[in-house]
Amino acid sequence: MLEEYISDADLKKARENYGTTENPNETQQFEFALNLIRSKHRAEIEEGLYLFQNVFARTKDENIKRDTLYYMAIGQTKLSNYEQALKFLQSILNVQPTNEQVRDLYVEVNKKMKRDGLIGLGIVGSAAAVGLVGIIGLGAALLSKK
Amino acid sequence: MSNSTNSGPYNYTYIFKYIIIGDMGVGKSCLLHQFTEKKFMADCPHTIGVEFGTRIIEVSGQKIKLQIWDTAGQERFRAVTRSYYRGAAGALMVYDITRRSTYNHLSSWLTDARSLTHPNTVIYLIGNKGDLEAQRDVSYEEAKQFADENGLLFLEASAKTGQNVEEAFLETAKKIYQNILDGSLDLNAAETGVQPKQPMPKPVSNEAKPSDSQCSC
Ligand SMILES: Nc1nc2c(ncn2[C@@H]2O[C@H](COP(=O)(O)OP(=O)(O)OP(=O)(O)O)[C@@H](O)[C@H]2O)c(=O)[nH]1
Ligand SMILES: [Mg+2]
Repeated sequence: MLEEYISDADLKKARENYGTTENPNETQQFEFALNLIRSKHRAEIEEGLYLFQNVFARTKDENIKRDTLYYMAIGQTKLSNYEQALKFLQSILNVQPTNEQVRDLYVEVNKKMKRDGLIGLGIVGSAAAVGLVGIIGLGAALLSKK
Repeated sequence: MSNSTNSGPYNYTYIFKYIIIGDMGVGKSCLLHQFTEKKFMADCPHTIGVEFGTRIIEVSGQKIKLQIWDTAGQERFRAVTRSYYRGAAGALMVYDITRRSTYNHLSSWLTDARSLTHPNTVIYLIGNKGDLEAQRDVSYEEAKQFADENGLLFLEASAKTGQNVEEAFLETAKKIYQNILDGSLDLNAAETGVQPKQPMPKPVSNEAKPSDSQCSC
């Protein structure tokens, strides 16, 4: 997922599509946010993170909440906000400790963080990350209320 | 044909890409897990987007690395999962023999697969959960007829007992390999889902023998 990208043309199409959707429901929001996260461009990834934040706040579906946290982790990783990404993943693991897909991503992000740290590129805590801090606590709380 | 150039355990001649598709909960991830780990996961969470697995197999004495993309059946991931269809040499299309609705959706999965993959992509239909005979909702004969009508390979399998799981993955590879040998799969074409480990020699001469191009230096 970290190396899978959407083409600018496909994203443009998705944006036009989304733009003409009146009152998008949470699935439609989720789908568009997912397309944004797959972009190569920072601004679009940030836009996707913001939209996921909306989905997370409005949905009552536990699965969608979990999937949203997972993709926010991917988005944050792409922006090199590794600590933030790990927090999202950890909040899923608190509820589903054996989820292999999430564990694998956790390990991968951790590796990336160490590698980037070593070559001095670690950027932790950007503006985008700060806005989401509140969400994690919320996420952990909501997910564990099962 | 020389066959001794690759000897280590991680050597292989080709990479084949597979996708696994089908409704949510039919057992796609369990099939992959059974194939790669020889274990059954009793309760695994539904897949987020795509999962990935690999295994090296042998077909006619050739080692082949399978790169398998296990897609989520859930509708909201469709945009992501679709992007993995392109460049698949094999597609395992799975339904659950105890849930007719998953069988009824096959034609739409097939339409997707046909329109998004290469014309030579081998499509294998798997009726999973074969161990749950008492709850069967789709007969073997009916599914077999659907497979025949659509030119698909077909087996019933069980990710739980492991029955026919190897067979489905291996027979798909055999069929792809056969398509390479008989020339119906052109390795120089784009997005065939087959990748020779060493770059293919440019087709300078049509008669280049394999032994000529394998540099042993
Ligand atoms: N009895 C039996 N149960 C199975 C078999 N294969 C899978 N299951 C169960 O079916 C459920 C769904 O399996 P998954 O492999 O997660 O299904 P999936 O197709 O990957 O679902 P998505 O990822 O949501 O698309 C799990 O609870 C499995 O334990 C099987 O062969 N026999
Ligand atoms: Mg799955």
